[in-house]
Order: sequence, then C-alpha cells, then structure tokens
Amino acid sequence: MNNTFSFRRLWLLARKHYSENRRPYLIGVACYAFVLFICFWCWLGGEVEDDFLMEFAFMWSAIFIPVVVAKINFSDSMKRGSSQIYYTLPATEGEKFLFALLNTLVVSAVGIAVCEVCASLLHDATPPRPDRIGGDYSAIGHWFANLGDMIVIALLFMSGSVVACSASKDKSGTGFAFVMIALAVLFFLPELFIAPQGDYLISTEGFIVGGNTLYCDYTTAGGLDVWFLTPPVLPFHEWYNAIVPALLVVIGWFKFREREIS
Amino acid sequence: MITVKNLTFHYRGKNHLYRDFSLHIERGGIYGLLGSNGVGKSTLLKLMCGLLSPDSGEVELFGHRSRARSVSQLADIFVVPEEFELPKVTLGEFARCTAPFYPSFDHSFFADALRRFEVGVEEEFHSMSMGQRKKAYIAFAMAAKSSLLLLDEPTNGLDITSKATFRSLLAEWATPERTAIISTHQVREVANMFDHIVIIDPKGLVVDSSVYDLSSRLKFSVESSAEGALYSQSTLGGYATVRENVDGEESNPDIELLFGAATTSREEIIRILNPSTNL
Repeated sequence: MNNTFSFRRLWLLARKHYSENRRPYLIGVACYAFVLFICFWCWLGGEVEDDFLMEFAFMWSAIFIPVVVAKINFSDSMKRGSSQIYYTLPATEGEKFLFALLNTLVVSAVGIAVCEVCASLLHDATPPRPDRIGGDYSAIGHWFANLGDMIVIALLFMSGSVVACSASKDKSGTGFAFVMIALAVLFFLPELFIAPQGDYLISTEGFIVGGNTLYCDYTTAGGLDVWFLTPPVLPFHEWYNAIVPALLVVIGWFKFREREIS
Repeated sequence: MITVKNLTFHYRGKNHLYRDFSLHIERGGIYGLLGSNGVGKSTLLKLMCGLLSPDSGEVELFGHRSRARSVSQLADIFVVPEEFELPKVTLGEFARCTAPFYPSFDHSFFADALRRFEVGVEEEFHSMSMGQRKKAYIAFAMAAKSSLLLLDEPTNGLDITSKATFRSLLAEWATPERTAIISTHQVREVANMFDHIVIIDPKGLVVDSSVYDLSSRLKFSVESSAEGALYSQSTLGGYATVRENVDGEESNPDIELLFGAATTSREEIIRILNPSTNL
C-alpha cells in the first residue's frame, strides 16, 4: 500500500466529504444568498451608495466562503466526537490537509468569481443612478483577472480557519471566533488607510483593474499605474499578501499534523 | 502486534497516567482491558493507534511507531470510541463512501451484522438512538476485517439482545490473525469472550495473563468462609472467593472477582501470576 500519496485516496476523501456534508453546504449557501439578497435589496432601494453592491459582494464572499468551507472541512478533525474517526481514516495527513486546502481554494475562488460576475451583471442590468461611478463592471475578464487575489484571500482565511479550529478544540467555538476576528482585523487593517485616499483612487478619470485591499492597479489617461494603499511607514507592500497566508498555511499544517486527541 | 515499551505519558497540567509502562499484545485473540475510572484505558487505546504521543518510551504497532499513523497501519486497524459523532447521512451512504478505504471490507458480513442488529441500511445516523448508532458503527468496524479492532466500552448503550448479538458477531469475527482489544467496565457482558485479561491501575500493570493462566494459577469458587481469600464477595450460597490455586484444580475465572483481587491484593496477584518476578 502506498503510504505517501495516492490520487485515489484523494478522490475517496472528496467523495466522502461531499456526500457527508451536503447539509452544511446547503445551509451555508442559504445564509450566503440571504445576506447578498438583503444587500441587493438595499442597493436597489437606493439606501446605499452605487458601488456598495460590488464592494460588499466581494468582501462578503471573500470572508464568508473560505471561512465556511474551511470550517466544514476541518470540523470533523476538530470535534471531540468525530476526530478519532477522522484521524484513523486510512489516508495520510498530507492527503487530508491537501484535500481541505484544495477544496477551500477551489470552492472559494469559484464562489467569489460567480458572485462577482452576478453582482456586476445585476449592477449593469439596472437603470443608471446619478451616483454611478465609471468602470467596466460587466467585464467578466476583469473579475477573473482578480483570481490570484481571490486565491490569496481564500488561502488566508482557510489557513486562519485551521488555526482557529485548532484553537477552539472541543470548546464551544469561542476560540474559533476569536482567531477569525483577529485574522479579519489583521487582513482588513489596511482598509483603514484606504478611506482617506479613496477619492483619489476611484475617480471618474480612471478605474481599478486589479489589486486588493493593500494596493490597486488602476488606469488613468496616462496608462497603468499602481497605488499602494498603505502608507510608506508600514514595512509591507505586495509581498505581505503572499507571506501571511503562506505562514498561516504552514502553522495550520503543523497544528493539523501534530494534533492529539485528548 | 503491539509493543508498549517503557511508556511514560501525562496530559498537560495533569499527573502522570503511565510511568515506565510496558505491555505486549500478541496477534490473535480477544483482550479485555480493565481498570477503574480514570486509570487510562482509553488513553492507552489512543496511544496504541497513534492518536497520542508518549512523553517517552515507545508504542509500536505492526512493528512501526504507532504515532506515524501510516496508511497501511490505519487500513489494518479500526477504532470504535466510547462516544462518537457520525455524519448526517444514511448508513448505506456512509458505508459506500467509507468502505473503500478498507481493502478487506466484507460487505456480506456488514449486511448480515446489520440484519442481526436490526438496523436498517437506509436509516440516517442522526435519527438513530445512541444504541442504534453504536450497533451500526460496530457492524461497520467488524466488517472492515482489520487485523486490530479497538473497542472502547462497546456494550454501553446496547440493549440485552444486542449485547448477545455483539458477542456472537465478535466470535465470528475473531480468527487467529485478528486481535480485538476491548476496554470495558461491564465485564459480565463480555467476560466469556476474553482470551486474555489486562488489568491496569494507577501504579501500572497488575494483570497480563491469558484466561488459561488465570484458571491454572488462581482458584475461583463459592465457599462458606472467605478466610484467607485474596478477595471475596458475599453471595447467596456463601462467599465467592479468589485464592491462589495450590491444588492444581482449574476453575472458570470470574473477571469481577479477579478485578477485586487486583485492587485489594495487588502485590499478591502480581506475585502469583508472574512467578518470574520472585526470582
């Protein structure tokens, strides 16, 4: 028997996972859609600014999907009642972790992309509003250009969820909540620096074509440019996006691998 | 099959459960793992299947470190914890998705065990009672036909008929190549199944003997007087006693009496069952 890696076992893990977790996924989809519907309703009624729909849809998807998928992925390994069964299932820990990682990344990236495309189509299908800003929202390619960032965000929250699941162990989930809040603060801290510069960045002369919460690529009459949203005193720029998730994935892996069932 | 060598283990912030503990489990047979509450029976099972790491010492399973939890090791053991949660799917769906992980899984044994336990394959786990869930999972565990089956309090929550079914299924499951280790407090229900008894207490291993050795070295009988007995319990006919077997007459071991004797006359029991320790 192959003790290192087997695609067949990876496939069996996937089949088992989706077969046994249909309900949590369906509940997750229902919650996700309900919040999006409320957001769309508010936007349609003119109670929020024009760009709120797009921003909220992205933020909500970027946080909700990876966290929920990661939580579903790792709940069996973290709950007292099922962890013994999970850890003695004949597959390597690498296969179990890899499946959870791939599942979170793929579902998150696809989920975020679908949500963004739908939101952009909805946005453009509705009559123009006086506060509508410039930008090619309906260009599907625009959202797929952000796939890298979606993966980074999914990876960040997925790895954070692993650490959080480990922190919560058999308790009521407060550890999970605390770690996730800390992670959200850590990731969205740079957002605090965006607001003062927002008018400059999102102007009628140009629009964002890429980037994330830390920096954005945007076009102006002069061509493509990059604007870092964080002030220069902070010692991180684009590499922050790669290092933090990678670090969390490594921590998550060790937490997962070394976990003991006490 | 399992070698525990000089094991030392403690949970964080708690006293040592094991200090320099050693035990060897041979392939084949049904082992009864007995001990009072909190003595570390479930912990020992977890150490055996690699769910915990010893502080020092070694726990080897099939000749390899158990903590490695390699796929070939995991495919050849099955653990039934005392309490567990199962996914919210039907038993049939669970079996379809989980059985392929176990190369020796026997579908006909599984179907037969379910029939005898009176559990429907289309029933959902979350609609089952605790006892039903346990029966379903025990049936699956036995059908996996792994070389090592670890059962933690398997009869907890089972009704009287199901306990009898469990015993008969276990008897059919057992072969010279397979080993079951049953950790239980309810010894009367499974005592007749045991080939080998292991009793542990907070100081370590007290009994590690085959039932044959027990019956040849100890004498279990009902007498009018309990004087000089290692342990006794009053019964309707007098006293159920356990003594050192000095006349060579074999008797059926009473596991409850043995456990009592191991608790009250620990050193005597060790001396009688392990004559080499006197050398």
